[in-house]
Amino acid sequence: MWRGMLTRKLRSALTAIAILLGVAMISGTFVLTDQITRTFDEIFATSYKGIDVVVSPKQAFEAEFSEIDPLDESLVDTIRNVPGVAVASGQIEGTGSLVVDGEFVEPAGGAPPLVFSALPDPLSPGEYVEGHAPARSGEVGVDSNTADKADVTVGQRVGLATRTGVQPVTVSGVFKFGEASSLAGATIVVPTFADAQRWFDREGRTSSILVAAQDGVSAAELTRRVAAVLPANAEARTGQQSAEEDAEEITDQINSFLRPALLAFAGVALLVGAFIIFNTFSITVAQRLRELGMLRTLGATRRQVMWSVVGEALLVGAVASAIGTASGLLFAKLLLVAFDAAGFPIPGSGVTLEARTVVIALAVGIVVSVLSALLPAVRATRVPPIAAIREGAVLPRPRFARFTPAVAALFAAGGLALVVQGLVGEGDATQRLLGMALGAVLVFVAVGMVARFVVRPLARLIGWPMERLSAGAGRLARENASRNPARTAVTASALMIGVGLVVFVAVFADGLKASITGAIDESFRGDIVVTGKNFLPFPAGAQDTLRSVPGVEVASGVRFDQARIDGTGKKNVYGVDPATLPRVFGIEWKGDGTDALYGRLAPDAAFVEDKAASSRGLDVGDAFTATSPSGTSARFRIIGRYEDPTFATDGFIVSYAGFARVFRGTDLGFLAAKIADGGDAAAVEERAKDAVSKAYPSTDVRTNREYKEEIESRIDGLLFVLYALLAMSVIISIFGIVNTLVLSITERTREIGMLRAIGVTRRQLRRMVRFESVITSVIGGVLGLAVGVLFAYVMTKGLEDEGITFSVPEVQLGVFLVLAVVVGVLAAVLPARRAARLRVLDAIHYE
Amino acid sequence: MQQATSNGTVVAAAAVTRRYGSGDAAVDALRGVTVNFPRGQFASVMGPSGSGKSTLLHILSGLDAPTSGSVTIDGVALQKLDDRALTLLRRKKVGFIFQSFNLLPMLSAEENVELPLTIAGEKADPEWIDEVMASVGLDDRRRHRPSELSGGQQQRVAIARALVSRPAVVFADEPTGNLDTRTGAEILDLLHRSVADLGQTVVMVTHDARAAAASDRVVFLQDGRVVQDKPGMQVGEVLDTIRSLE
Repeated sequence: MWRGMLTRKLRSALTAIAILLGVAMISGTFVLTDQITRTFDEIFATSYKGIDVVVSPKQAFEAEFSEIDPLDESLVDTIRNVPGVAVASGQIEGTGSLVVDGEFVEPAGGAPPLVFSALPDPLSPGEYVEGHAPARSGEVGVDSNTADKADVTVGQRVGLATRTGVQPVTVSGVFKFGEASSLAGATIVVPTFADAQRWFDREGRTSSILVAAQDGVSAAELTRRVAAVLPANAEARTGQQSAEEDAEEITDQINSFLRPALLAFAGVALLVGAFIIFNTFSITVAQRLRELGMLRTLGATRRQVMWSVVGEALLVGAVASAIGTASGLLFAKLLLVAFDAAGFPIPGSGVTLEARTVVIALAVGIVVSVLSALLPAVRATRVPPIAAIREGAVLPRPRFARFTPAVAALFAAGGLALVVQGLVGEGDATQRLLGMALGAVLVFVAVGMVARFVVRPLARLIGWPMERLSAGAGRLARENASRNPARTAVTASALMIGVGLVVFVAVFADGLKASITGAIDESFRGDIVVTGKNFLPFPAGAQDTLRSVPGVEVASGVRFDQARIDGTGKKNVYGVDPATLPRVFGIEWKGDGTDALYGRLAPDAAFVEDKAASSRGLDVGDAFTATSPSGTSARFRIIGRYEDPTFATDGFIVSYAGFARVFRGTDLGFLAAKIADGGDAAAVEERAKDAVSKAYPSTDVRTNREYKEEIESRIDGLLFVLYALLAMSVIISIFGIVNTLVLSITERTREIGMLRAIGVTRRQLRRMVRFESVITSVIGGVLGLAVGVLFAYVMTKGLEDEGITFSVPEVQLGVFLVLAVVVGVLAAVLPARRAARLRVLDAIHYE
Repeated sequence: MQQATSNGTVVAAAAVTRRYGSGDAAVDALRGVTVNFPRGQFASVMGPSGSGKSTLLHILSGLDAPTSGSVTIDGVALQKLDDRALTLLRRKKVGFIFQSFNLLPMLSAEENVELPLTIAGEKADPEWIDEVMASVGLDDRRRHRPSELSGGQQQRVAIARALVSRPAVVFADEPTGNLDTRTGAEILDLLHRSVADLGQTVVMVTHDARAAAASDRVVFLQDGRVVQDKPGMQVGEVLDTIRSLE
């Protein structure tokens, strides 16, 4: 009885953990994303604190990295004359950062390196804690985080990387950015307005105009007055509106990408937890047959019996969810650390548990617990009263058990169909993703349903080396693992989910890497690749610098922007130098196209990429109109069609001259160079790196091989985060194995007593439990491997158009199997100890 | 394999006491039992409930340790052995038969019989297995699982399992307790034959007078002491003795 209580407590705790961790992930996701959005709200609220009206260029549509045509500087004076304006000032925005001792001061993670020209009071958000705002040409202010990181002090002479190269500047002051606790990793350097105009190619222009109202004039009223004097290419909003809109832009990204992605991992963890709860309750119902039968003989109704099971699930679920919700705070912290370690630092501080978070996390946790226990609860109602008196009574087989394989087949087929439909189908991306997720869940459930049919053969296979190692323990472990195939199958299936997704990610990433490096090998005819740090656009001057390096035969850069095509949609536009590009970069022509077409790439000519061609119904001989976000339009005729799913993807290639007809920007997204034959290539590389990074420190200069390695390491960084998130599911399934083992050992107490009596040593007993655990975990690993590879295969086939190939990383998969063994060994530690500790006499007489 | 001691004694207990608990709550299950079992004897231990007969069996078989006194099995003194050595001794020299059979449900009859050898990592000699299976009359049930066997058949499997490692002594704890009279008689007959044909030594705890009468010698316990130790008793005599003790 006493031992029974203890087992029950342990079982409840282990079951609780299954749900607790998933709930913690949900709660942690909300805590983390709330924290991030709050940080950005703060940052933008601070940015626009003293600003009543913001005048900015009108944008026809949002485009990433696009350079918007700036406003005329003369508009500042026009606005100053509007009644009610106290202060109006232009501001130049650009990207660039300090260069200290030849080193570019990089923002943390993916945050941008920002340059904002100085603003007069009360518009300026910065509060100078040391020195003063830049007053003379050549002076800059620096935000305190950046000053700390770069270790610069007031009065120090440093460089500022700008569009026109590195400018010598003196730090005139260090400012704090209002109340915002962090700049989300961004760096901010503040030059004077006139300097910024010169350095960022904005003479006579301004990126925006910021206005403060006189006392007694409301922001809304002033905005209306200002709007009335604006030309057609400008628009006015209140400062508050701007803050909200800017924050919303980032919040939307977090709510539409980061949050759902993290919640998906929480969902995986909960699915694993659901398997474990289902299994635990199935086992305990089977073990409680006599008790349940007795309840029935005492007059308990089926409904009461069902509630006795559901009630326990409800209680365990509620307690676990409550702890899990609170643990979300801890999980959010762990996520911060994990993202940081992977090179994606997440900004923000001051965590809070919103009421919404608590409600969602609690509800999901409790609902999942109860739903998972529902099936076992229904089975419990089918226990006949006779079970109370009959020794060795067994639970009646579920009525529909014989349909299980058919249902599983249906689930698997439906699941895979959903995944494929999500990949290649049309329609809303969110809906298709949800469909794919549901499809994956169905496949996992289907495999879990039929896994018991492979338990015996797999146990035999996996147990073979164990029997060689230790005949007795190995044999018994194998028999124990396969005596309740359903139990072992569901336990293993819980692990299968985590392993399956890890394998899927690994195989998919391997294909992704292979396809990208393959594409680099195919397309890159040069030797050196220049990109902006964090793949931001970089000044076109880098091209001339690279060309002038002795030993460089040719260098050619590609401009990038996005345009509306014939008034709708958004496609990529690449601006190239037709004379030099084919010498450093090759594209795959369709039809009878050849590189000779570059000779005909006049300012009104374009090549169309295959994907854009088919999605827009455009082909050689057709004409289209491209419109920039600033509203400039030009017409092009298509003279060639090519395919490049990796670099110049889904859009059009035009000449620099053609690009300039639509876009004002000249920044490059990509620059490649070829080294002349016969020279010392390594020396040329070295010189090229020195020259370019000295003049344009915001760039990375790499050889093709280094470029490939960089891409791979970025994918690896992302993999690290994904693995860390999936590790949670694997950890949960470890607890599942522990739980099943503990329950089984309790059930087999008398057997263990007998075994000990007839000569099984404690060591052999521990080994037996460990072997059983490893057999279970390796079955999970093997199933996971199979499902993961299948998913990756379906996925890569579906994305063949994107150039992703199917490639299996055998070594890695081998490592995952070894890890499955480790999981088994870890899971066995506690149960093996419990089994070995049983006293022989107590065990033999255990009821 | 079996080392004979000078007087042919396989199991010897000298002044064995066993106290459970301590202080006022202490219970003395055995209060100084000295008893020897010679090789080739089918002995039974009887006594009313609480007499200490089960405790004696546990101590004699190395499943429990005496509070004082000594036990030797086949010349090996148990008190010096740690858990591992004791386990290995049981594996080699002791066979067990339990009231509730205690077979492994997932193994066939034959596999259950071979279990002690499997545990020891030994290869079963097929001829010996054939002989043991034949001697318990289960030649045609070798591939059956315990759930497919009757109670009597299951106990036969358990007996074969106890005999398979040719132990120095077989301890049987109420082997007929879960069986009907006729099946019980068959099992006793089987134990008897194992002593006669294979030269086994069997020590059986029972409260069934018929079972005791089937053995060569009956040791009576009362309140943790041996009160009578007599060979060749008849059923009536056993019953009389029991009545006199209660």
